[in-house]
Amino acid sequence: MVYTRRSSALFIIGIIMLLIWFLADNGMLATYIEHLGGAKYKYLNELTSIPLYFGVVAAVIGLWQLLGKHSEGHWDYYSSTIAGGMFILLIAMLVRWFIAPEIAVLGTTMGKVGDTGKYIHKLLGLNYVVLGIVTGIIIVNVFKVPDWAKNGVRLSRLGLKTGVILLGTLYSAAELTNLGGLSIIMIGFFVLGSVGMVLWMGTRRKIPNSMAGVLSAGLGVCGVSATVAAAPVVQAKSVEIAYTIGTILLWGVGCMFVFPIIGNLLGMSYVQFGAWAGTGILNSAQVAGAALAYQPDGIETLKVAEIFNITRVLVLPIIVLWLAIWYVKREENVTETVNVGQVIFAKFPVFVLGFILLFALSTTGIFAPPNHYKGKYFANTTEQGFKESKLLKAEQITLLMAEAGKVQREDRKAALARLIENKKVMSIEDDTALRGLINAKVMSKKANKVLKGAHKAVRHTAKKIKAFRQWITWLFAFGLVGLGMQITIGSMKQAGGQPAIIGGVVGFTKAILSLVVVLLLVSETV
Amino acid sequence: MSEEKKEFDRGSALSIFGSDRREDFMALVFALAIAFAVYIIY
Repeated sequence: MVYTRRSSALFIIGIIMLLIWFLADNGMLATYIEHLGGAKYKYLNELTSIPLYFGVVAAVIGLWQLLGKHSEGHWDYYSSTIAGGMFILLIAMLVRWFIAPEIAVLGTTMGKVGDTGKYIHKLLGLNYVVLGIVTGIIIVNVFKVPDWAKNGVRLSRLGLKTGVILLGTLYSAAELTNLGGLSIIMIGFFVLGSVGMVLWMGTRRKIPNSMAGVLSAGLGVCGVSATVAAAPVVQAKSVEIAYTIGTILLWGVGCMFVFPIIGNLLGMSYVQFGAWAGTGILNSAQVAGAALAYQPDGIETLKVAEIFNITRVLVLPIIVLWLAIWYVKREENVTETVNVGQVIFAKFPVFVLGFILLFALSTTGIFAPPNHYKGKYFANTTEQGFKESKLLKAEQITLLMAEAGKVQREDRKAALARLIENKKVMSIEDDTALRGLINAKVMSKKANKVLKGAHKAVRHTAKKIKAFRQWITWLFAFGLVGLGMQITIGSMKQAGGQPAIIGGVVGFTKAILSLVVVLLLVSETV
Repeated sequence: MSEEKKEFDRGSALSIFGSDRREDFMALVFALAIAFAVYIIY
């Protein structure tokens, strides 16, 4: 089978990208960018670089695909994915740079919603992440994915996995220790709890053991991957796997859109929302989608959510072992023996080990100076980088003093008092406490802006880390638009009957309980 | 399911790779390549 389609589509995509770059680079989009927010428009740097690089690649390969000879083989198979990949990328670009900002302008002109104090687009989380996924869903269900793009759409999961691995470069050892401890406790409780609940409900509702087993792994651990991993040990049939995946997709897609709205209404901090999404949402891809939808222009929520998600994946071997023992005990006539160790080894997601590898590489200091995570410029000597101009201004100090009464925690109170006294952050501990204060959203937006300014004056993000953040953002944007193109009404219709009822009850219980636990217990900073 | 098989005789409906393990390794290769490029360029 020859996969490469002799189509001009990829060449045209390349030309569109180059046109965007040309117009932006020559200032021809200035009036439109002014309409989209002027100085507040954040994507000008991206507009004048990214479409150029990808546009050249797409145009050149597009010409070759249109005019060249293609025959069956590895090269044909893999190169045929480029058209679909570039199609997804173009949609992600258009949504991020133009459609989402346009909706933000529209939402702002409509005014704030009731007592929430938030604009409608903020409240509904209508940012580039959500809009990208929705665009994907519309394309696949209304217009259908074009033939020349079908092969490339299957790259989306690869994009998400690459993003997760690269995310390993952005954690410091302290962050990983703090979040890791918290996530092990929460995930341990909720994974084991939901697996146990599904197995119990399955027995009460008299569904086959194989169905209950595979459903419990899917709902308890990490969605589709766990379903596939657990299927052999409980001898699940194809139709049971399909039911489980349908239930997970239906519930996961719903959560991906609803969680950020609830998070916004409750004013959750990034850490709280990340912990909730990483615990309460069933499938890995939708965890990333919800986290980025909640904080589209930053990576803190995603970092927290992914630690929870990775902890969940790491629990997979324990669950597979549990299910194997449970299934053998309940099924007297198990004829086919399954090597559990082999299943765990064969199905364990290696990308999690990749994440750990990149984290280990990052801790050696090869991507950022050794003092990157420790912070700089805390001292008051010019030799150590102190600048008078970086000190807080009188009106900023007045604002912080006026709002200091809102702060309850002692460490944050003390750090704020020292900031007010010295007009700058004095230590790494104070910086951590003040970042926690920002994330907790206790103070007004204006005061938080002052705190962020004080943080930036002492902490400088290394260029390499900035580059990683940009790569990760784009890999997730790419993966999530592609994910939208794989969410078909047909695949969700597979959910039904008892599995859908059990899935609904367990999913809802997990989402509500984890929300309560997070709101009560989680307050740390990233 | 059969429709998907006709459409792609390699990989699955969700991935161009034949197995999750291969996809994971490719993701690792891409991530390391990007990390190397970032290390060299910036």
